[in-house]
Amino acid sequence: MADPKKEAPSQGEVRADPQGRTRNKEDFLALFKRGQEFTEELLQDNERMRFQVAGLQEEVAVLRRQLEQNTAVTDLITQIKALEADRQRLLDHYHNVETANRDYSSRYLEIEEAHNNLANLYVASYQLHSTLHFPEVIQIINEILLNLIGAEEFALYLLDEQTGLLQALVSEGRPLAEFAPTKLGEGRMGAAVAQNQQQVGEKGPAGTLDEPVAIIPLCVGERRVGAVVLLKLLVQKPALSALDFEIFSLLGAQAATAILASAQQGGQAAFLVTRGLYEKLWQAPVARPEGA
Amino acid sequence: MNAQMLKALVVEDSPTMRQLIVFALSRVRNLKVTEADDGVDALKKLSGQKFDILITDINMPMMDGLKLVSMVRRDEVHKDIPIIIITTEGAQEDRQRALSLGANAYITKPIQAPQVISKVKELLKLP
Repeated sequence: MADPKKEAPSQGEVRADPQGRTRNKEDFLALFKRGQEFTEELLQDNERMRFQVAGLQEEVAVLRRQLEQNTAVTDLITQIKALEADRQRLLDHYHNVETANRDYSSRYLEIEEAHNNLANLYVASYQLHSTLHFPEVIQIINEILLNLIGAEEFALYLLDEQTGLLQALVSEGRPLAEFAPTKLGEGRMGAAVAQNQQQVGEKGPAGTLDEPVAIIPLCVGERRVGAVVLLKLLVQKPALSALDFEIFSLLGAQAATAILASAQQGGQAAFLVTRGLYEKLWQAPVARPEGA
Repeated sequence: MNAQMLKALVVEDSPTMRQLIVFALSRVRNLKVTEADDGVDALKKLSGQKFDILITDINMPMMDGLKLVSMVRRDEVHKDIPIIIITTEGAQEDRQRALSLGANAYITKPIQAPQVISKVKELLKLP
């Protein structure tokens, strides 16, 4: 009896080629097996790579933690910041030194000028007291006015204490006769001497007899001796300087002292115009400041 | 090492001016200053020693600065000495005369120490 399972072929089976069917099945199974193996390999690769990724992620995390905790790096960063601060400090210091240098240059010039001024004052003072010969003292006052002040026209007045009259003793740049006598306390010059107050005109380097460039009273303490009336400065001298005012102050006191001392010494033989005046000055008591 | 000492002769009849110039020149290093009252005194001092620079006023008694300049330029020893004359701004004729006689430079009154120092250094080629 025939096997019904063998006799009734399944759908699609070719009854005519049972060996070919077997071959197809085996091929299919082989193909399927290869596919299975390939899939398994892929799965294994995938698994391996997942492990590698996880490992790498762990390494990165470790490195990141190390980096955050690494003191060498933070030290370097701190050092960089410190060096930048140092650089800025040095730059600031350099600017400060530069400013100080400019200040020193400027101060050097000021000191140089002060030195020159002091030298001029020293020379004027030294010369005024270098002689007790009356004409020489007058000559020295003239030289100070000519060479230190740069005066072109001026006169030296002396006070006759007996008459209270200020009279021109010598002049430069203008005839002596042009300098009129003035009563102490009267007019611009008389008032300046009476008050022992320097007066400086506002007409610049050239004044007039009525409005001189400067009036410098000559006084020893409360005692009035005379005055310098400055009418005109040399052409190269456009205005009075700070040094000139220092010399005026020096003249005001020291020229007066030198005149009195030399007049006392010489007895006034040299200048007739002041003979009476200095005979009187000889005998006059020494003036003392109030309360002395 | 000692630098060579230079010698200056200042000729000026006014003691005030002379002292001012000497004061100014005292600030030039290695410069020894000798003073003379006028041209005659200056010639006496020039005959005794060699100077490196001469500074002279023009208006002086006995012998003025112009005559002095002219005589110094004829002197074998000092014919090439640098000469500075001291003039007033208004005395342009005197200044021109002195320069034509052989003066090298001039300074005007009232003199300023920096002006004197600068001229002397320039003529002596000092730093």
